[in-house]
Amino acid sequence: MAPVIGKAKAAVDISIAYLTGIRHLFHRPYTLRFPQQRYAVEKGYRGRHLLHLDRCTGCGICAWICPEKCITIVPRGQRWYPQYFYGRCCFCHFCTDYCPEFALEETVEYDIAEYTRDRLVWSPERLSKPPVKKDDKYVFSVDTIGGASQVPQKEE
Amino acid sequence: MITSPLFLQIVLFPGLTSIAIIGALLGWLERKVTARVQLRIGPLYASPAGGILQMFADLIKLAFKELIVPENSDAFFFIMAPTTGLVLGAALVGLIPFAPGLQIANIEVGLPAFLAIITLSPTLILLAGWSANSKFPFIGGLRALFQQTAYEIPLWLSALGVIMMAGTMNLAQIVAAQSTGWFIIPQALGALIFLVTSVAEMERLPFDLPEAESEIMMGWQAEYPGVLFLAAQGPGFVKLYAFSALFTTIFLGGFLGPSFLPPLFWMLSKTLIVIVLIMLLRSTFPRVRLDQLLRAGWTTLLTLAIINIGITYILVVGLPTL
Ligand code: SF4
Ligand code: SF4
Repeated sequence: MAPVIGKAKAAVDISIAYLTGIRHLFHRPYTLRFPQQRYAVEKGYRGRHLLHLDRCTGCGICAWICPEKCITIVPRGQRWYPQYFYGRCCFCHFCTDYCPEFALEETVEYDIAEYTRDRLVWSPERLSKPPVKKDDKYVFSVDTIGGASQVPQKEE
Repeated sequence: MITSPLFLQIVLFPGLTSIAIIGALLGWLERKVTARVQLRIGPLYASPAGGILQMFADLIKLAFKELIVPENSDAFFFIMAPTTGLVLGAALVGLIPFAPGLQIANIEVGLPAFLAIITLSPTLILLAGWSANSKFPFIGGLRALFQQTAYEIPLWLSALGVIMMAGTMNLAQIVAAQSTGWFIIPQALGALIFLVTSVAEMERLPFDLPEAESEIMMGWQAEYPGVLFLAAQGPGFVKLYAFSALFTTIFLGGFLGPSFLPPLFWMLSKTLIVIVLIMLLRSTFPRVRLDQLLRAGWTTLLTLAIINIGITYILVVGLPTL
């Protein structure tokens, strides 16, 4: 009798698996079509840096604390500013934490890939531009039950 | 001659042109269904309509690849085996009645003829694997032959139930016999066995031992380049189309349906549902081992098929009086 019970149990398991497959056919997919669709990120996300040129004193503490040594202090006229090499930055944001003048800030911009390595060097001027706000209709959130769904973009 | 109905049927529908197009579309459908089961999107960019032209894009890519026939292979059989497989698949479709009168060959022994033609395909796979003169294709070819011994007898026995119910082997008459009720209800067990064994016959997951991508690297197809790879993949989709159409014909009432839509619509939509259900098997279940398949074929499936014949006998003739 035992083998028959085992076979019946296996048949039930197989049916459950198959029905799950059918259910998934009508489920919203998880895949996001990046960059046409992008994840909604919360405030406090550690994206690329925003440098406030008016506040920075050029003290170099950010360059000193950076564990990846990716900050170089470069001259701009009479003043000095940090220049970032994002090829090495690990987005730990120690630099932001340690800046005594609060001249650095985290932004939610994370898609900063480039085609060449020299484009990854961000000058102080480039760092000082706030991130371009992406189109509202392309912001999605992905949850573990519902799949990807569209959400309104968060204010920064 | 050019405009005779039979010629048009052979060339256009349900003949060669439609088989080629449907085969390519099935390749797209398979990828789309697999993707949706895994909660992905699947082919998307190859046309505005959800990447439906993806297979045609792949076709163009494969057509421009260099055609390499392995040095120590038997070139004649190496090329002949997959192309003959395509012809066999097309021959199967010719036996199916798609609508009243829309059938290329209406022969008296349609159902056995279908199963007899399909019996040749493992032999072709062995031929392809052997002629490639390489390890993995040869293992794949032998597996195809082993697999055939497991599913062939239950496949025929499960089709026998339908023949007993209908009292004929002619496919058009089998459809006509279902006007009072589809055979899937009295033949539920037979339909299940037929579905399982025909999936094994088509060498699709979970019974794709001759290909077994993760074990023997596409098995008998391993050495095929470019267009020949396409020719080796093609029979799989054509057989899927033909077997789903046969399943619809003998179990789901073929082209019968409410008369506000043409019979062809009912036939094709039922076939499409069967195709999707078979594709779901691929994305849901893991591959079985060869010994598991042989044991299941010779014990469970064979027993169930014989029980099904007994049930059918009681349904048709009545309880035997002693
Ligand atoms: S960003 Fe802050 S830490 Fe870095 S040089 Fe400017 S003031 Fe100093
Ligand atoms: S985030 Fe971390 S790694 Fe990147 S520049 Fe700042 S301190 Fe260096």
